[in-house]
This record gives sequence, structure tokens and C-alpha cells, in this order.
Amino acid sequence: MSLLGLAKRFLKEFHWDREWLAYKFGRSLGRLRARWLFGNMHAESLCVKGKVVLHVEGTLRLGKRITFLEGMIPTVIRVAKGATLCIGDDCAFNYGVSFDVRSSLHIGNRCMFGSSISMCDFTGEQLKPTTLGDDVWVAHGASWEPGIHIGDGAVLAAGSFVAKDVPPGHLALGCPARTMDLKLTQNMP
Amino acid sequence: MSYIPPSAPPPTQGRWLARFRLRHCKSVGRGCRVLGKIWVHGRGKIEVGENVLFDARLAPIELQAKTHATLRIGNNCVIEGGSSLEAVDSIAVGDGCHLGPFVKIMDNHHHNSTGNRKERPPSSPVSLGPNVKVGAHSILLPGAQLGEGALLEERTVVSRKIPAGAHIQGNPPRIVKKETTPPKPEEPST
Repeated sequence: MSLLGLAKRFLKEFHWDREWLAYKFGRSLGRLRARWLFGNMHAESLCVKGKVVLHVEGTLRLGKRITFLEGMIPTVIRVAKGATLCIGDDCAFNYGVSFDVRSSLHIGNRCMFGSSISMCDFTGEQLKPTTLGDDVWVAHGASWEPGIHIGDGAVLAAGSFVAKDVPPGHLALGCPARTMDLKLTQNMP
Repeated sequence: MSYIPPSAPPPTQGRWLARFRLRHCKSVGRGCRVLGKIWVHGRGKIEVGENVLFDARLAPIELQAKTHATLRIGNNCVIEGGSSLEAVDSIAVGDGCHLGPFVKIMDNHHHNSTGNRKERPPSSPVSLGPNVKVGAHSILLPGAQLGEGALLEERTVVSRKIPAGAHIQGNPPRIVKKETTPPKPEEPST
């Protein structure tokens, strides 16, 4: 096949969707911005689309392919001296997420976070290390009592306040939150 | 209704600026005002009625309508700062509604809770009747349908049908009073 034919075939079969191109372009811009913002804390394929405010005096460990989305309220990451914040691979954060870490906060892989969530790991003077498992989905406005453990694959519903540990694969909803198995919710509308 | 914060500038000011800030909306009624920042995005239809006040001095307001979505805001509404309306299918806000600060209205959960989380679940439309008051930090989830004159307190999370004139509180929501006194129809103060 001639070169022209190859080029024609490439143009025909290549995915020239406008939204896809915009997505890719935004993502590459976000990766540049991440390099600018995070400096030597930069991790592989970190993408920052919105505004992120960093006050890091302790250690911040970022996994691969983390995304901070664009929005109205900036994301704030505040890590105190001697504290550690670990974020796993493939996590995605919507706008307005604020981390306030004074002891340690561990977030697993493939977690999703909705908008305007505040995560802290202390109550007053007490330091309470908090852990989140893998595949956790935290919806808009959910919050938790510091010092709890959220199991793998758990879902925190919108606006819920979680005061007890959430077992893996459970849905926590309400204020204070009650937990129910996600398998029971499969047949629900 | 038609609450105007005392420190707001007189309604005769800043209308052309409001027109400019709402330029991505499909239709904007007369007498709309925008104080502060507003973020209008998405490729759907956004229709704003007359005399709507966007008071975004506290935090920016987000209006989003994804492709083929409709977001309709009625006449004489007041929307306070930090609130965000995200339409994937359709959101309708009735006449004379008052949305408090940091209210979130969405008609799609955006992710499945079980199975593949990357997929988008089917959306169910959200509608607010006329003269509804929504308190600060409330969340209206897909399927929320508020009747005429319903009153939500702060931090209420609603995802179902609410009868007209009810007074709702808490998460999960419960009815405090079945019928509040019907709001008197007032002349808009503009």
C-alpha cells in the first residue's frame, strides 16, 4: 500500500473525537501543572487539573496516576511535621478536597473522592492515624470520625458521617452512619 | 420569598456584567444578577428565568449541564454561594426557590456502587417545586422531587419524593412537620 493510502487509513481509523482530544489535551496540561506544583514530590503520571494548595512539612507519598480535578474550591494538602500522607495508585479527587494530616493517613489504591470532603486525623490534641482500604468511594460531603478504618471496596454515601469502622464491601449512609452490605443494594433501584 | 441580602448592590446595577457572566446559558431572563464568580460549563441547555440572584460572594457557583441535559432555573430564585447544580439528564428549579450556601444538586451518581465503577449509571431527574427553601450544605440526590413550598433544613440529604409544604430535616431525611404555613406570594422587590 502506498504512503498516501496508509495516511488515509490512519486518518479514517484514528479516533478523532473532539471530546477525547479535549480530554487528552487537558490531561497533558494537568501533568505539566503537576510537575510545576509538586516539584520533587512529583509522582509518575500525576495530573493536576485544578488549583492545589500545598503546605507539606512532613512526608507525602504519592502513587501513580493520581488525578486532582478542576473545580470551584481549591484542593488543600496540609501535612504537619513528622506526619505522613500516603495516597495509592489511580486515585481521583474532585475539587474542594482538603487533607489535614498531623499523624498518618493512608489511602489505598483506586479510591475515588467526591467534592468538598475534609480529611483529618486528629481531634483536638489527640492524634489518631486513619486508614482507607482499596477501591473506596467517598461521595460528596462525606466525613468521618478520625481514627477509623474503612475497609476495601466500601462506599461512603453523600453527606454521611461515619463514626465506626466500615467493614469491607459495605455501604455507609446517614448521619451517624449505618452500614449495610453492598450485595443487598444490588437489586435496589 | 425574593430574599435580597442587605449588603447586595441595588438591582439596577451590574446587569450587563451578569449577562456577560451568564453568556454560556441558552436563555437568560430579565433582571438577573450575579455577585462574585460563577462557573457555567457543559454543552447542554441552561435556562435562567427572570430576576434570579446568584450571590456567589462566599464561594463560586457552578452550573453544569452535560451534553443533551437541561438545567432550568425559574423566576425570582436566589442561589447562594458555593452551591453547584450538575445536570446529566434534567434539573428543574421552580419559581421563587431559595438555595442556601453550598447546596449540591445532582441527577446522577456518576459511578456505580457495585460492578464497574467507571461506568455512569442511568440518571433520574430532579425537580424542585415553586417556593422551596433549601438549607445550607444540603444535598439533593437523583430522584429528589420536592413539592411546592417544601422546607429543608441544613445538611439534609434527599433522594426521594417529598410532599408539598413539608418541613424536612436530617440524614436520612425525616418529616418534622407535615405542612408548613403556605408561603405568601410576594411581589418581587426589584
